[in-house]
Amino acid sequence: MKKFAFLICLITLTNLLYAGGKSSYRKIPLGIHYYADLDVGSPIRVDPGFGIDAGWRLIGRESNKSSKSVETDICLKPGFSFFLRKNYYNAIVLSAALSWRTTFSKGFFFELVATPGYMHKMYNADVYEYSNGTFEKKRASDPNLYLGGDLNVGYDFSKKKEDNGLGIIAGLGFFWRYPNNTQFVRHQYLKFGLTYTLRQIKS
Amino acid sequence: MKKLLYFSTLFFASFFLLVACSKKEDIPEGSIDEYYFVKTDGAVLPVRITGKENSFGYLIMTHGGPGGTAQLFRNSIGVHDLEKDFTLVYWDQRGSGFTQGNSSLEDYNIEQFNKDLDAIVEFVKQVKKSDNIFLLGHSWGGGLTSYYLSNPTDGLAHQAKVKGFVMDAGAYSIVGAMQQSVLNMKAYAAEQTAANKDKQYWKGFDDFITQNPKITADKFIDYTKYVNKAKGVFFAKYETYDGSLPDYESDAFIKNFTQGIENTKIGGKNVFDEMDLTPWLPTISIPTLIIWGQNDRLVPMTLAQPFYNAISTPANKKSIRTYSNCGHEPQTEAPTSFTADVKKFILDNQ
Repeated sequence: MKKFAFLICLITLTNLLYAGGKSSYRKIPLGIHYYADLDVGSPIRVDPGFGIDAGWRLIGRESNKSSKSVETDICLKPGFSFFLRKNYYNAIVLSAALSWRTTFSKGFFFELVATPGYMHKMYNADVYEYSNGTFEKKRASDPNLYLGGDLNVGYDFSKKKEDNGLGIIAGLGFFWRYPNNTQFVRHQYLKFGLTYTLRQIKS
Repeated sequence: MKKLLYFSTLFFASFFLLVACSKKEDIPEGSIDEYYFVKTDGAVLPVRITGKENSFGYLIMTHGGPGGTAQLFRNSIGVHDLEKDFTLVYWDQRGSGFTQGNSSLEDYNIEQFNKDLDAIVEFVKQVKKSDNIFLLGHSWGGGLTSYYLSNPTDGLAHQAKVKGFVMDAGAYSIVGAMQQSVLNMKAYAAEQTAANKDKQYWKGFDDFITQNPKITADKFIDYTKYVNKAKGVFFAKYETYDGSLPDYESDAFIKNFTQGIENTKIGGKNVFDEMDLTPWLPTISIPTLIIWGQNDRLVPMTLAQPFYNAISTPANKKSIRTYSNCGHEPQTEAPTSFTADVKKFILDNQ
């Protein structure tokens, strides 16, 4: 695992240092995604999730001064998502993902994302609090730490037509929420959605 | 950008369409299926109430483990069929099954679970407005319910709140149950070895018992694998009801189960090392039905008669029903007899 992480870091740094000059674009990547949260019990169950994010490009490199170049971007992506689990909980997640995406000249890209965040988990049935021998109906929720990451592949249409910023993306990932009765709870999910990249040529 | 807005709207709308069209369990006419959470002493306990609407009484189901879930009871045909006549209340103990939140391991003790069960009883009395309450405890849940009814602090007060108790292969003495189980399993292993069946496997069991003459919490799951092999948990083939469950997290469920077994205490010691309620049982005087599988090797049937003898319930208000070809799960393995016996018991004591 350590070797794998080291290799990823090495590839990223090499890519950024030697891929070409500084980017001639400002880019704001936007994304909208479905999540299929897979519960691998018996039978396998799928719980839905939905998310949006917008990126702030921290580092960007291109192999030449054209939008058809190989591009590598490292972005900070604040995001908002929610997950629904019937008769169990609904949760919203506020996150700040760090993503590394390399887009090839033909338009295909792959992306690695690490997502720390905050999950607010709300019980989705009536909650009755028992205190001093009586019950009172109340809202209840749990704060959770959210740690996740996913590996995505996709296609960026702007490589074919510059004024078309749309892209499609699909991937798989894991997240953990903590605490649940003092333990981390693991989730695995499939993700698919749309991206849109706003490009602005730097003056 | 317009395209993004267009597709995003489409995406968002289709998401909600997908969620709205998800499959729901058909609820028969005249029945209910309600979900609640009861928050008490820092824990949020899931409660599901299903079965006949406006039935005269409620049957509170207390699950085994420690660490299991009551809602899987519904998959037992014997339990599910009770829903035709009664209203069943399935609740999970703190830190167990489908419970969420962040219960402290310090609170994984029978003294706290006793308070939690009382909160559920009060919930039925106050929120569902019924005084016709029966308790059913299976395995560890039978032990917890016995504690609820017999403990010197509030056992008598608790008995005044309920009309009867169904003891379903209940572990009122985990120490005694494990001793009896090991004796039973040793005899079974010797039989298999003598008959030249799986000799190597049962030699492995002998080695396991030699190293662990007393089954402690950390060895319980390993030990249960041998009991399963001896058909001591499930003896015969069985069918289940494919009922709906909440969209729980399997990972949390498995971790809750393991954590429950390893951490549940009585008097500050693990229940596997210490729990034996036999001295308190004479406190119990409410109507009691004792149900056991004759082939149960986990909590053997040898515990049934001592329980019957120990409780103070008059002879005409207590009975033992045992089922042949049945292991540790009478509600699953002998559903017809189970349903009929529990139904008769409740109707006789309403």
